[in-house]
Amino acid sequence: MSYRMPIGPIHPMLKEPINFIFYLDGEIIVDAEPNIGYAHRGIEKLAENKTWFQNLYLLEKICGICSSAHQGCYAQGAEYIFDVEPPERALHIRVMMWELERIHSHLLWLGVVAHLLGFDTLFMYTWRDRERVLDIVEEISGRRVGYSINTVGGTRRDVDDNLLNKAKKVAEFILEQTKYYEKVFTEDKSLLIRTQNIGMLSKTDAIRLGTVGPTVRASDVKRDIRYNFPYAIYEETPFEVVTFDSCDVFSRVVVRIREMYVSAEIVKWIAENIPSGKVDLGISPFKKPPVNEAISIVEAPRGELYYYLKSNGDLKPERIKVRTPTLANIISVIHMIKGHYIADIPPIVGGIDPCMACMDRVLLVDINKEKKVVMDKEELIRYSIKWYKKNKDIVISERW
Amino acid sequence: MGALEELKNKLSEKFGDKIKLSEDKRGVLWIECDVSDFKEILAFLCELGYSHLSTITALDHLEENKFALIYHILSFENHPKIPICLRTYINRDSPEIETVLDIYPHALVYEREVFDLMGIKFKGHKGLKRLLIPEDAPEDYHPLRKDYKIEVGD
Repeated sequence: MSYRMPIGPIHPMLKEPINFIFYLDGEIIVDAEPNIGYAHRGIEKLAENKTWFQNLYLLEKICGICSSAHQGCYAQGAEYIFDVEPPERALHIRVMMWELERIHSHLLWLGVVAHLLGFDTLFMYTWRDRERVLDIVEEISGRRVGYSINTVGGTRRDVDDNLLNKAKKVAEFILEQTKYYEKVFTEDKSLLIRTQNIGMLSKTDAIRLGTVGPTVRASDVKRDIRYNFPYAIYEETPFEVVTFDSCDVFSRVVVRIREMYVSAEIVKWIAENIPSGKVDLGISPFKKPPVNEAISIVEAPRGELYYYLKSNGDLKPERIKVRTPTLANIISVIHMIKGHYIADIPPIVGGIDPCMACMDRVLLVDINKEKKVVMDKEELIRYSIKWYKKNKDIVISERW
Repeated sequence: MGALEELKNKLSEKFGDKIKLSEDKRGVLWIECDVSDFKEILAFLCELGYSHLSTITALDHLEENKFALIYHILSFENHPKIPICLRTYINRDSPEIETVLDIYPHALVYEREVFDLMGIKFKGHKGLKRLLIPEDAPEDYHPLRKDYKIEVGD
């Protein structure tokens, strides 16, 4: 029996809640179609009407979780436009914030995945540890989210030795906790059943579909902007690119967990090796940049974040273009989800780390019977957990 | 800078006067070319290993009555550390350009985004429709164009 099932508008993306229409054959997904734009705020147009310095605080509001990546990427691009080099110490603080943000973003995602799979205890564990990161972030920047730490030509705040020690302790704590999460996610039988061999994305497909970030690295492709196009201080920072080769949701979990080790190591390295000096060039907010254009790319927690900036010599930019990582990954979701059960939608859609996988409401429409079933997010999760309990034997025999 | 020189030589050998090459201080290679040649150049670059299209930027040059399209491509394997931006111009009165879907399948959403916000049509793109703005918006509603002014409320 064929069904057409719209899901959403939910918001798995940075700016936009999303609506999926799934075409089903019984329980199997035949095709899917995403519709985005439910939270389109016209930030690119708005940015053309604000000054270069005002835009710092506008663009970080694109995303609540990776706000530092957005603001830092913009600040870096604006520094190219103004043709200034920020001080070394500022770059170290900026990178430390980026890596702390990556840790808390991945912890958040792990919790969400655990919740989607019906493992709420683990969700509470990861979010408890995330608080430790948010606390240190708050002490450094003054805010838990939307840190506003970057400015054109450096950072707005300095860190003292006491804070650096605290950051180092948090990094050590995260290293310890991550070991536990790696053990749980790679050894727990019920988590393995729900993640292994689900949402396959082969290496060639990942490249063909332009996938970015942990999703592409989970398909065993060594693509990391920090490594391939080093920016800020990543050229001298010791770190390795994490890849994993099982190409499924499990692979994405492993890559993100191991990236947390890497990020925590970078935070520790920065706390020990930060140079002294000033953190800001003190550029006046009313300084006009030269006529110039630049691109700025950073590795946000969800993948490659691309900015294009153009100045016409005025106080306001001529054009700012933002390409967020989830927009690049949304095509691959459609590819991954084909041939899977309805119950696999949460882990697969959640698997690309869409910004807050909040499935607001699901509408199941039976084309033949004209019957509509409306499910909210909780119901869908309960439905998927129940379905797996009932059909456990089929799934296990199919997958092993 | 050896790799950059090598890449520039390869390109100018193949295309000669058809392209204008320039580089900025951060090691980004900017290519400017005619709209009739841009697809051939992209296909050549894709063969060289530039298999990742990051995004497409459209710029509105209102005074000169034209649009600029910038294709931002990256290569992760063969030419590390040299991002390429390929720029081409089209007429503002009849904004149409060939699709690059056959070279970069993931251009799907980026072309739809440009069509939606700038009103540039991509020839050969099946299912070209609005991406961000609701589909029932007026046909000539393209807010990123420079002649669209933001109305400030009270």
